[in-house]
Amino acid sequence: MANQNILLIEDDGIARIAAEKCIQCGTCSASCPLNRYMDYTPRQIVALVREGLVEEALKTKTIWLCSTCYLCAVRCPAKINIGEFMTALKRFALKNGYSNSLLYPKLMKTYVEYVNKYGRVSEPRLMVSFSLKTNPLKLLKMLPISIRLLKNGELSISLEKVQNLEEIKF
Amino acid sequence: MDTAERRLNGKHLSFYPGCSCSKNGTARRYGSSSIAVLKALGIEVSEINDWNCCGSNLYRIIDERGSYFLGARNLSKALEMGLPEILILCPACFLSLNRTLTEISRNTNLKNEIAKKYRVLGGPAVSRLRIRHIIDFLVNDVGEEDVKNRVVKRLEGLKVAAYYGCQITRPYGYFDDPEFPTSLERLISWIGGQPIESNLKTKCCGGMLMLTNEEEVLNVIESILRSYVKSGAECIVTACPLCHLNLEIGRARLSGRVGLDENFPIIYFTQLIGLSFNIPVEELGLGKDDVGRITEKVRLTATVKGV
Repeated sequence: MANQNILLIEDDGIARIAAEKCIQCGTCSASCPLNRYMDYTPRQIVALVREGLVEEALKTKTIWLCSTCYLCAVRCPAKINIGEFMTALKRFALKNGYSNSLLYPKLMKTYVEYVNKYGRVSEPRLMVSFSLKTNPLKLLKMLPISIRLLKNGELSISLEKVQNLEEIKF
Repeated sequence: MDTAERRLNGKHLSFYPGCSCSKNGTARRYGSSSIAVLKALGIEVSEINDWNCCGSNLYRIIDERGSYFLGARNLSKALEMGLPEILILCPACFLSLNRTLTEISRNTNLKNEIAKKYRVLGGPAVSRLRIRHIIDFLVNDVGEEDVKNRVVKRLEGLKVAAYYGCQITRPYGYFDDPEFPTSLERLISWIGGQPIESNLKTKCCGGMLMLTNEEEVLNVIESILRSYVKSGAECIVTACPLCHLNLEIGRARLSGRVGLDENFPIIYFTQLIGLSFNIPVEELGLGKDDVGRITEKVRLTATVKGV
């Protein structure tokens, strides 16, 4: 990457704050419910960014495993919102073409397409569209239970769209 | 009529259902039971006209500016209806709209840009906007006395464990402790139930990662369900559409492994309150199995205790 510190230059908010204020205590890493599946702990991600190794941070699995539950954020003794820091990294990874092949970005893109088209989202439809793009076999596996739920009226695939869609173009 | 009732009876709020709790959403039972419970308490809610997506995190990562516009449109509709106090059920929507309001208040450029599109947000009325989670509203505005007064069937001795999930109280802790909230336990005790603690009650369920990282998320849910099994709870109540869905998936997939009955009641807390208010089960969207198990348990406990 041309400029390793471009994140800090572009982002005048959370990434800069995190890099400047972090005391590397590891409370965030210990608090994270998904820490054991991450390739780098949250503390290490902050350290990478601080050292200018942004590209390495953007390529981690860690940023996409953050579910923004904010347990790290409420416990951080330096009062850094690590959840928002991860969100900033996700946004930056997408913008710069990392992560395009990952599942989570595909889910987000499907979600955004729905919202832009209808103004709202139907969760069952979102799941079907997402699965068709990524793992159609999974749909086959879910077919029996889906049919049962549909018959019982527990699942609805109808979607009322926003009437005035012009109002959500910005 | 006591003072609290006089103050609240006839109170009118706008209601933001969001995609999950709307009538076609996966959490429509949370929506219908909440409206029924509020109605029983004399509170009127009106759905925000032509509401749209809250601009949740999924959207915000791709388009931050757009997510604030999405949130702002909902706020503007509530103001146009003359109902600036907005009631929300879904914690993700609650967080999104609160965040939008915070951003509008502190970022003048954003506010001006948004006000060009949604004019009402440029005026003084913005300061009247309040975004309330239903738990907050029930515990802190309606309060103990009014809730207790509405109870028809006390759920005597029913051991109820609350699962809050993460975003109701985090990161901002608007109305309760971010890690160890107690509002739901208070509500449970007001309707006669016995609140049971789980130390994982605000541990994240994995949320949307269920769709992309199923194995990891199922492991997280397994630890959560184990803690509830160990607690001796007879019913789990939830307050988030996504937590609810994930716990239900966990119950279906992991019940054998964690020693949980596959028909163990996992319901929205508003459904449980509705049951104690004697609201028809159809309105609450409660299945026969859940009602059967809960009422049977309550009857037995009440008999033993001689209530």
